[in-house]
Amino acid sequence: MNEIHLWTVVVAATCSLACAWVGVWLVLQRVSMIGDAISHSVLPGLVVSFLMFGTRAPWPMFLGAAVAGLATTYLTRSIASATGAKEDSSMGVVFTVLFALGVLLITRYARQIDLDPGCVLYGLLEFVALDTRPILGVEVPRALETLAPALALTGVLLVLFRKEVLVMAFDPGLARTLGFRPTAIYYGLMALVAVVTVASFEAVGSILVIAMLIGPAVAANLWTRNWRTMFAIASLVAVGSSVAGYALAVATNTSVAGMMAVAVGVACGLAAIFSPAGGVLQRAVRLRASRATIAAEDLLANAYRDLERSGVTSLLGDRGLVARGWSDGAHLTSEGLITARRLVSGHRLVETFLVKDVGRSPDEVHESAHRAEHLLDAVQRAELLRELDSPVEDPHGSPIPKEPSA
Amino acid sequence: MTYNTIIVLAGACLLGALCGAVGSFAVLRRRALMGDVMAHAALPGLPLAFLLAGGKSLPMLLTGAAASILLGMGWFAAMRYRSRTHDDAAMALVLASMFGLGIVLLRHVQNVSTGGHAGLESFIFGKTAGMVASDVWITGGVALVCLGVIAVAYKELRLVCFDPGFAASTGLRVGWVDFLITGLLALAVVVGLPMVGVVMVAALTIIPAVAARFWTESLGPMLGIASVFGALACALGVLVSASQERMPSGPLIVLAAAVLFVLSALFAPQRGLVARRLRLERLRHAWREGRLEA
Repeated sequence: MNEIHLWTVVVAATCSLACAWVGVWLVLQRVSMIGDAISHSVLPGLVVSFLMFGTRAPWPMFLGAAVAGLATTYLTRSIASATGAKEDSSMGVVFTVLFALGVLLITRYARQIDLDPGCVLYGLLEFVALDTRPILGVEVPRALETLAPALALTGVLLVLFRKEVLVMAFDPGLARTLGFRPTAIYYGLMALVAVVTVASFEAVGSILVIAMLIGPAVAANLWTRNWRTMFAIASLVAVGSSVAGYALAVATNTSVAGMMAVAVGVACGLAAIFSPAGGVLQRAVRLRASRATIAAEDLLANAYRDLERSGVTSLLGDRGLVARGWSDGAHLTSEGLITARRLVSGHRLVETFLVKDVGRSPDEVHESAHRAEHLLDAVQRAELLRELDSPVEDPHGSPIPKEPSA
Repeated sequence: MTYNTIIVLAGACLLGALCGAVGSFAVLRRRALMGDVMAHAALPGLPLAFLLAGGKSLPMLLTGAAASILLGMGWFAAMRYRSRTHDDAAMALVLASMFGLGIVLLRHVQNVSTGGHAGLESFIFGKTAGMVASDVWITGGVALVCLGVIAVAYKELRLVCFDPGFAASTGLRVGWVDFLITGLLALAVVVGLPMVGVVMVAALTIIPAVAARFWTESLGPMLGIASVFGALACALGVLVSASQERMPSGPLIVLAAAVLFVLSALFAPQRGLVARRLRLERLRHAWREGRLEA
């Protein structure tokens, strides 16, 4: 791997990591679209700070971005609360207007501003490794001068305030009770989103930064419910899609930032399918398994009813003896018989309950009982039995089998 | 006014009215940002249509954009309803990943095609001043179709917008009505993209509708007011842009809409801030004089 490839991937990964760490909080707090809003509305902040300080050094840029990010969130919230408009509507109004303002400013002051709308939109990841300056004798891409502080700032702030932000994400009410000042933390987080967004502009551009903010967090959130694991997986997805995106883009000669966004999207799709915590595949397997169980249980219960009709169970079953044999020659093992008795007992108890306590007609209770019999456990059956004063027969006059002791 | 300005003015006003009316439904259904997601998700369709059609025929490009939006919405629905992902995260993910795919494909087209691809990127920023008569006809046609659909499904749309719970209890399939709203919004976004670009078309589906909401409590008037606001904002933007140097019309349209929004938020008769303040003061006054029953 030559140096240019290496540095490009390092820049991409630094940027994705910073985005992913902030993004986890956005996704947990269900305010992901704020990422979209801020990535558009930092534009005027950037332009104004450039016009004021006349430099593209990181800190003035961060300042402009943070102010714009705070303005977006503040305006969104105040317009919503002052006018009764919905929060998403007021967010839509605020960020599009700020973006329009930014575009207008760029066009008016194009000569003073070294900002290319295309660059802001797509980023220039392909070229960052060419624009270097020596640090401690190593040629380091200039983009890292912005991204490394942004990553460090994100890491430090999120470690320092992890307790506060965590409580806020999962229980805003508790956060207020504990005296955490949720509003201050919320605005702090939004300022951080703005800073990270601006730092990433040069590398991946304004729209694709949204993919790097939200995508890794979505994938991680699909994969686990534990927040530490979530951070680990989000970091992994961020770095993984940077590497994969870069490799694919070089192989097909297309936009690196675009390919990274695609890679993140694919990662989310894969997580949705293969996640061990509620992925499509896992749910399908579970569904199949429970379908098979229910079919087997229905078969057993019907076998029992057949035995009952032929009179075998009344002779043997109640005395705890094991009945073997079935009308058409199949055999029921002792285990099968026990399970069947549990099912039929549950079925008939539910029928009795529905008729006696709920007051439904005996003709209409079979379907409900047929569904419920698969879900009842021993405790619930015992409770039903006690509740109904240990009935002997169900509403249709069939005997309710006694719960086998083993 | 030159012939060209009249064409641009007519097209922009039609687009503004269309986006205002269709956006009203999205705003009422709390999907105000869906127009924004769609506008971004349309991008991959353009280079694909260009490759398939072998040229820049506008109807092909618009069809490609619409198909791409449909795909994005399908992805959104799958993430939203078949996984644990929430609304907001699914929207942001679809928006950004589809846009990324669009940029990848655009770059690919630039690599393989021998020419004629220039201008595909104008869909991102829009090219209001480049509008020709056929654009106006297309916008007008789409506006008519949308108007027809709204007229036919008016009762259902109104029910779902103001009381989805009751609508569902009457046996109405709320999901299908939402799908219809999504379709209308997609149509408006698709015709708007080449004229004003991604962010500005999103703004047009949001701001006039939110502003109109201040003036009325019923759907019919809201649709009317939102259309008028949309058209007015576009007209103002185009006219100012035509009379000044280096003033692009897209941002000016959005800023004009913002002015309408601020005026509405302040001075609307019932829900406006001034009216609310006056009501509150009158109430306070009455309370102090003891004219109020506790």
